[in-house]
Amino acid sequence: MKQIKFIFTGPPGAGKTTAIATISEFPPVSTDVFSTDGLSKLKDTTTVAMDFGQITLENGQKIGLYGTPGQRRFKFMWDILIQGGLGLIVLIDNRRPEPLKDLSMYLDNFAEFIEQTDAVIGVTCMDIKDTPTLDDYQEFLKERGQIYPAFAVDARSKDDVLFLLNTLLTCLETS
Amino acid sequence: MPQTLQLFSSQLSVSNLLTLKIFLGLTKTDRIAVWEYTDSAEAAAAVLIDTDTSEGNLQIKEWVNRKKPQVVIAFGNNNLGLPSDVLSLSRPLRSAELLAVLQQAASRFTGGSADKGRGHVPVSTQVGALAKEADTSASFVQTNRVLTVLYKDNDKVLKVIDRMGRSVIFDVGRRRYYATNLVRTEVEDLLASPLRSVQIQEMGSSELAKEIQNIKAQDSDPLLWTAALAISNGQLLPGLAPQGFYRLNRWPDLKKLGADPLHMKLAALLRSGGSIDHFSHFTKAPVESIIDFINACQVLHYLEYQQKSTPAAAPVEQKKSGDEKRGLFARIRSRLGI
Repeated sequence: MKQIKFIFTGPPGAGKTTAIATISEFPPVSTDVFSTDGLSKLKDTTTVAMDFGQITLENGQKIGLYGTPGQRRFKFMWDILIQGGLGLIVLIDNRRPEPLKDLSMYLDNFAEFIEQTDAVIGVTCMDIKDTPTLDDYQEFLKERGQIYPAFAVDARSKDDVLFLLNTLLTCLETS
Repeated sequence: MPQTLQLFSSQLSVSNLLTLKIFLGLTKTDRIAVWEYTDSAEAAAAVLIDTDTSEGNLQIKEWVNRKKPQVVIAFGNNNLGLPSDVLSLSRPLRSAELLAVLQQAASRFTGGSADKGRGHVPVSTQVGALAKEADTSASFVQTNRVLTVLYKDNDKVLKVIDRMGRSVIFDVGRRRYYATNLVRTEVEDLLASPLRSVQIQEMGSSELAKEIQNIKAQDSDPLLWTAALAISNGQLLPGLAPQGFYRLNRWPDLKKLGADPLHMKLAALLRSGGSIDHFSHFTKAPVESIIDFINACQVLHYLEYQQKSTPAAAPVEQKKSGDEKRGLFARIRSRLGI
């Protein structure tokens, strides 16, 4: 039986591991290694296989919280992790050079999964770099003919992560 | 000199509460009783309770039993069977009806002196006099209001000046506003004002730069959103029709604008589009609430509208799997406290 799960994706450093940690009932099991490329300026470690967290419902059912590795070169892991996924949470780091291009890459690579489920977008670090704005993100999505919820979030904030999850659930309910 | 009386409310939705506060502003011209909103039930002359909620239903009985001096007003669709000393106000909240009820409340609270001051003028005439600065409910939203001008002139810089000479500058294209001597609720009131009660001047960029020196720019989206919800009163903005087909062209930032669960659900539904009836049927929410949301989206240009409704796509899910999913989602929400 496939486990029911939510998938967190996005570029390295966007806050996937942190977001999972804020709502998981145990500290996420991570497969991090020390960063050796340009990423090491931003963070000490990066996820190479996955992050795993969990919540247990009142009836004992387990809901998995899976974080994908950020880098495109681990795409084979993305395809494995999305099996049984309820929906996708895309976290985008606004400090990166081309956040809209990042978003485009994740939406394209998860297109089939999103088509079958749904997606929400959380933009992190907007307090550090405020462009592109959320309007720019929405305009970008509009040009792609897509409408997805996009919000400024702090991955460390439980309220923010729950807001994303609640929005995703609402979208799934009405699809 | 008119008396100043205070009104407290309980169980009202956010949009009805905002509407109520704006309508209370209409009593400023009354020569007998001016009503203000208060957050203190004890300080109030009247208490308005939404009786369409189970909690409100209980509260109204408690208030009646307490035998306090406050006049109790029941607001709801089913106010039959209430004690005779409770005033009744039916849904939706309409300015004319509210003003008439407030006059009765003022009269009761003051032991009839308010009525004496008014003489023997029939209630309908009094309402007309009270509401002459604004409009009665039937045309409330249809009237040209400051808000309507702002969302239509969406690339201009407009300075709105009220009768007291206070001003707000709206840089509509950049979705900002600049206010020096008005707090946000006063700016909301200004947006709900009829055009004839304000002056609007268009400003050039150099004039704008000069005027806004040392004034902090504020995001106008939450302001316009709230004002649109407040003045909707269950009626579509000019140019929108009840039978139309509505679809979002972008997702509203509900984290910034207010995380109302109904609005979230409506935004999700409006992604694929449909008619007001379809949305009302799906969400089981009153049509007036759907209209409030549609107006707010329209004001922020988040909406695509076609005059003729096309059938919404039928749900593809089997009922059983849909129920299973809803059950699962409800359990997840319950577990996470959302």
